[in-house]
Amino acid sequence: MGGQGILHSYTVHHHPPLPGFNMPHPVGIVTLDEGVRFLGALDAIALDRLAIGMQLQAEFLRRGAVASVRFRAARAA
Amino acid sequence: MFTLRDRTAIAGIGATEFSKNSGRSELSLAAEAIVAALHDAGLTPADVDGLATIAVDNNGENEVFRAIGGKELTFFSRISGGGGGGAASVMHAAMAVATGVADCVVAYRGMNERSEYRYGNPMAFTMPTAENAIFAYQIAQGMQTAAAMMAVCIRRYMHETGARAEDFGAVAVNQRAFAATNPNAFFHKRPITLDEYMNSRMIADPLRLYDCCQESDGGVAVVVVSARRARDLKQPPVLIRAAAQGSPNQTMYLNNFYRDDVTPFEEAHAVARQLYAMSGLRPADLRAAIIYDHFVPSVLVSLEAYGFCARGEAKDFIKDGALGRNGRLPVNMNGGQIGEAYIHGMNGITEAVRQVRGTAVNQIEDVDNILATSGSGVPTSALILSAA
Repeated sequence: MGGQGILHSYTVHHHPPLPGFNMPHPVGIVTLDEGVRFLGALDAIALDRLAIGMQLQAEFLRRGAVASVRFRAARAA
Repeated sequence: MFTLRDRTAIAGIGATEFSKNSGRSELSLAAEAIVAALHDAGLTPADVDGLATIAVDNNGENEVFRAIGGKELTFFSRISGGGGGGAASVMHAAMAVATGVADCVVAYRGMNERSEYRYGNPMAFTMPTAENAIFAYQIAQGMQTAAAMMAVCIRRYMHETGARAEDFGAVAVNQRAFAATNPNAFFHKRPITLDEYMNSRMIADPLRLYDCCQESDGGVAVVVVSARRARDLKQPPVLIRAAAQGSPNQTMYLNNFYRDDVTPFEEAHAVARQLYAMSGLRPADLRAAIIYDHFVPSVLVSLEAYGFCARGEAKDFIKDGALGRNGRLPVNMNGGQIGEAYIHGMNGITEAVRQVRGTAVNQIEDVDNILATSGSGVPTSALILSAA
């Protein structure tokens, strides 16, 4: 898995507050280049940049004590 | 070939008031609704030998039976999940009666969903079931509510069809207008405008507050007997013309993210196909419809899934008041779950019964056949009810 994919759809969660996340919180489903659908947080992306079809790159991070993964915008080739 | 068509009938309906704080137990709500439904039918608890509900109902069948003073149960059945199963509980009742397993089966739902717990709250991981393992992963990514899951599916629907927030708003405004003239509705006398809809706060973008069903307390019950027996009871029989369940491959619980079509279409479509085959009816034969509105935009997808219009065309179908009192397909005349109450769609089924009887507060003329659906985007079910 290369971690690259295309944003298939997403939401920006506003209410109720979610423990451990800043509000509003974007999260969506990504079609990875290998053809697999993958759900991930999108909170590395500015809300006004979110768009179905945008190119994404997975990145790893810590959320509290837990290792996690999310997607950021892929840099233009 | 054996068919369920027209073998059974809904002979009685009952409900408690709908509120945000019932002030009594869920068991009381279920028992009150059942006794009211039996009274409506001209039957007594001693006549009941079957009960059906959905798995998330907290009232055990035996406890409900004790509470109403029943004699002996020969049939009791629970439908997996929540909002997709209301119509299926009536279907299972019909199946039990049609096969002679029971003579009088009551489908019920009683819940203090607003005052004792709230489905709108973020999900918490509980039992390590297969579904909860998937939800646990979602929780860790910050997707923790039913609204957020549906929002992802609806944004894709908007992208594919061009449906806009204003289209969803038109449906919400229409249902709140029905609720405004329904004294049993929580939002009685409280209609909304399209501006109020558009300005209602975001819950999970693109879903606004007024897209979301209420959180409610209340109980609802439906009495099913054979069509023959129903003819001799107090109310005009409402025939169960067709009933079906559907859970196609890749169906999950609102999080249908891993298949080609993520919109809440496939389950409803699978049920629709069976309903029309069993009933011999076409969508054009249905005078009105109760369409499950956990979230208002799902009504548009269901209009397509149940064949009232082509895929992607619901935004055009609903124009010019098509779902209103004088429209071509009045929908959710009780105000729906955004307007009347959210009792997992069981209150929609009783509204469908009233429409066929001709006793609804927002009565549509000449309702000979009506559709009543359960929740979409989950394993689901639906009924076609008909005048005898």
